[in-house]
Parts: sequence; C-alpha cells; structure tokens
Amino acid sequence: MKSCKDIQSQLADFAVGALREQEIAEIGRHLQECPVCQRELGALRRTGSLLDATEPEDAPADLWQSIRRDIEAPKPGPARVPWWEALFPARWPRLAYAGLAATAVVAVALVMTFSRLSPAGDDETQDFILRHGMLAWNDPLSDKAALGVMLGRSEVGREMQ
Amino acid sequence: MMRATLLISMAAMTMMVFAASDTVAPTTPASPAERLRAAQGAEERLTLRATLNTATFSRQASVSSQVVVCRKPGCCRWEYQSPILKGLVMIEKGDAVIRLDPAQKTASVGCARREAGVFDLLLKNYTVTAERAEPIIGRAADVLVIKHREPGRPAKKLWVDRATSLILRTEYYDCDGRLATLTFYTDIEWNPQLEDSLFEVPDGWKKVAVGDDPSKHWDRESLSKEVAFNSREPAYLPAGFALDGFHLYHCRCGVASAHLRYVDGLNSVSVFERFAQCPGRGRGRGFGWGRGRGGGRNCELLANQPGRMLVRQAGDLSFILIGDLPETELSKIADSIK
Repeated sequence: MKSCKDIQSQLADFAVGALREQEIAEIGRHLQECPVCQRELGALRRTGSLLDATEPEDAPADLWQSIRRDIEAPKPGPARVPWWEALFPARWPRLAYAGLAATAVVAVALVMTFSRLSPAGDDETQDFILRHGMLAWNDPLSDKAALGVMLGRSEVGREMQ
Repeated sequence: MMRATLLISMAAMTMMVFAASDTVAPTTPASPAERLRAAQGAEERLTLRATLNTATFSRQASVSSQVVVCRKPGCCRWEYQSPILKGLVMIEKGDAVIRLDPAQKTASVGCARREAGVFDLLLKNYTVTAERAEPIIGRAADVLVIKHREPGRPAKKLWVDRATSLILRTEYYDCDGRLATLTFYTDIEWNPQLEDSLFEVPDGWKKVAVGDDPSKHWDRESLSKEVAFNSREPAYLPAGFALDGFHLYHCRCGVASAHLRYVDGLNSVSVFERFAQCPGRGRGRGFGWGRGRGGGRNCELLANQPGRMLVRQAGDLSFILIGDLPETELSKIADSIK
C-alpha cells in the first residue's frame, strides 16, 4: 500500500497518462479513498489547463548561434587582487596591521641578537676554536682526555676536507 | 755463630730492600721542577690499561665522561663512555691524532706536532711547588702546584705518582681562578697485553684528513704569499709569551687564514687572520649580525673549553684571538695588531 507521498510523486505522470496500467489502477484506488490526493490532482490539472491555453512563441532564429558565440568567447579571469590585500583584508583595523608589523620587527631583532651572542652556534668561529685546541694537544702537561672531549664534541673532519 | 747468622740475615734483608726499591721506585728527582719534568714524559714510557674520569666545567654546560685508556710507548687510545659523546674514540699514534666516529664510521686524522723547548719556557714563566703528599687510588703521590709569576693566568695542580711519575690527577684553573677541567685515574692495570689493532683505524672506515699540516713551518713572508695579504703580528704580548710559529689554516669554506700561535709553556694564544668577507659566511646558524663590515664581536667566554675569544675587524681583514687570558689582555693584543 503506497503512502500519499508516493502517490503524489506520481500524480503528474498520472494526469498525462504516462504510467503503466497497474500503476494507474493502484493510484485510482487510492484516489477514491483519499481526498488530499484528490485535491492535489485537481491542482495539477488546473495548472496544465492554463499552460495548454497559452500560445507557444517561436525561438529567435539566431538563438543557437548566439549561444555558441557565448560558449566560444574567451572568459575574463577573476579580478586580480594584490597580494597585500589578500594577506591583509581591508576589513582589518589599522591597529592590527601596526601590531603585526611591530611584532615582526621585534622577532627579527631578537633572532639577530641571539645569533650574534651565541658563539657555540657559529660553525665558522667554532672551527678556529677547534684548531686552537688541536694545536695544544702536545703542549707540556696537556690534559688529552679533556681535550678529546672538546675535539670529540665537534663536527671536525666531516666538512673540512 | 748466632751473631754471624744475624749479621748475614741483616745484610741479606738490606740487599733485598735495595733491590726492591730499585725495581719499584725510580730515583725521586730532588726539586719540584725536576719532578714535573719527569712527570711530563712519564706516560710516554708506560704500558697500562686504566679508567679515568674527566670533566669540563664550561659556561654553557659541563661535560663529564668516564674514559677507558689503553697506553703503550708511542700510542694511546681513549674510549669515552659518556652517552653524550656517542662512542667517541681518540687515538694518538706518533704525531697523528685520530678521532673515530662510530656513527659515521669515519676516522678524522690530524697531526699534532711536538715542539722542543716549550717545557723550558714553562719552567721560566711558572713556579712549581710541592704542596703536599696525598695518596690517590691507593698510591703515594705528591701534589705539585704550577702558578704563573704574573697574576691572572691559568694554573694547574697535579698529583704525581711517586713510583712511576705518572700524573694521576690534573686540575686546571682558568685565568679567572675557576676550576675548568678535572681529570683523574680511578684504576690502573700495569703492563697489560695490548693489541696493535687498538691503535689503528678499523678496516672499512672512511679516513678524512683534518686541517692543514701543522708540522710544516712557515715564515711571515711565505705565509703572507699563501693567504694573499700581509700577515700582521701583534706588537704587544702578555709577559712570558713567545711566538710558537706561523701556520696555515683553511676554514671550512676553503679560505686560507694565517694562524699565529704564541705560547708561555702552559697557556697559548691563537691569532687567526683572514679576509673579513669569507664566502663561507652564513653557512652556520644565525645571521651573523655584527660580523662582516661591522666592528667585530665583544670578548666572549668559550662555550666548551676554558678561554675567551675576541673578534676584531680592521679594514678588509678579520682577526680572531683565542686564549685563556683576561679580557683586558686579549683586547690589548688585538689593539696592537697594526
């Protein structure tokens, strides 16, 4: 037994006689007992009558040519937005831009300052320190076990030759 | 009869004591300086397998490690046990100093030359005193203290074994008077059988030559030609320092530097000179603010060893000074390089 919803989905086809006999019989039985679907069918038929009453209008002669021209014509790309506008949309307040700029300046200054203050992180000068230590190897009373720690912790030898 | 037997027994005992003292203990040098001279060469004569502890107290991080040492005349091997050193082995064989890196299976082979006469310079600049007798690892030892005649210089304390003159413990105090390194034996096995392979690079390992040959002697003129600028010597040196030699050194970017080394017997100062605009700049970490055209770095303590480093720029040359000296002394040396 079909529900009203199932029946109503087939009512348009029922109205124009596009269903099979078995379906037509089934919907007919339902309509005899269902006033809701009867009203729905009535509305469909009224709309159809109105459409049938209107005069069909001929399509313009160059319709397909104009459609083809539209298809083949080069399409303009999306409007080009400068990168700074994309990165910083205009809706952001000016204060936010100023804050970002200040943060960037402070961050760069900190990185550069610490890179200067950290001799251990500087491979270039570390090489000279190692060379200095290496030449002390045979100095009188040199503590070679301690010197070995210093030389061993370095990358000496891998990149120098 | 009994008296004769007693006399013979006493004579025999006396002879046994003399014989024992002859085989166990060498003649003890009279002065602390002579004891130090004997200690300086003692380890070269001995064969031993031992464990020692070494610690370096630096500005950034202190490092300590237990080290297994195998030594026989002309060769020594140090196996570092600390995880931070990742299985590091150092080998000394003649003038070659070899660093074995197990992770890379790479042997970095350098050369450390031996200059005669530096020990005499030490005795000239430093006083050596026998502070006290103090046994260490169950052996009789004397504590020798080596101090510069001028203040503000490094000092050493050594525990010297009375029987063999081996240095059993070393304490190094930097120019600021702080304990900077400490190394001491914890046990020693005398005269073990040591395989020659202990002192060789293992088969299949990659050998890499490190740096330039320091045994090659340069003078100022020939070195200046090699580095393509006139090498400059400092007009001022702290009391007791003397020129050890001119050396050629190529930094990792391949640029030749002049290396002037000065020694006072216990301490050394290196002056590296090179063009300031080294193409290798920026290969290290950081942006290097303060290098290049700027006035150079302030004096800084070294991160992993005793001493300070000072970088100065003059014209298109850069001067890097390294040594365990007060900042004022390093600055005076740098200022005198014209």
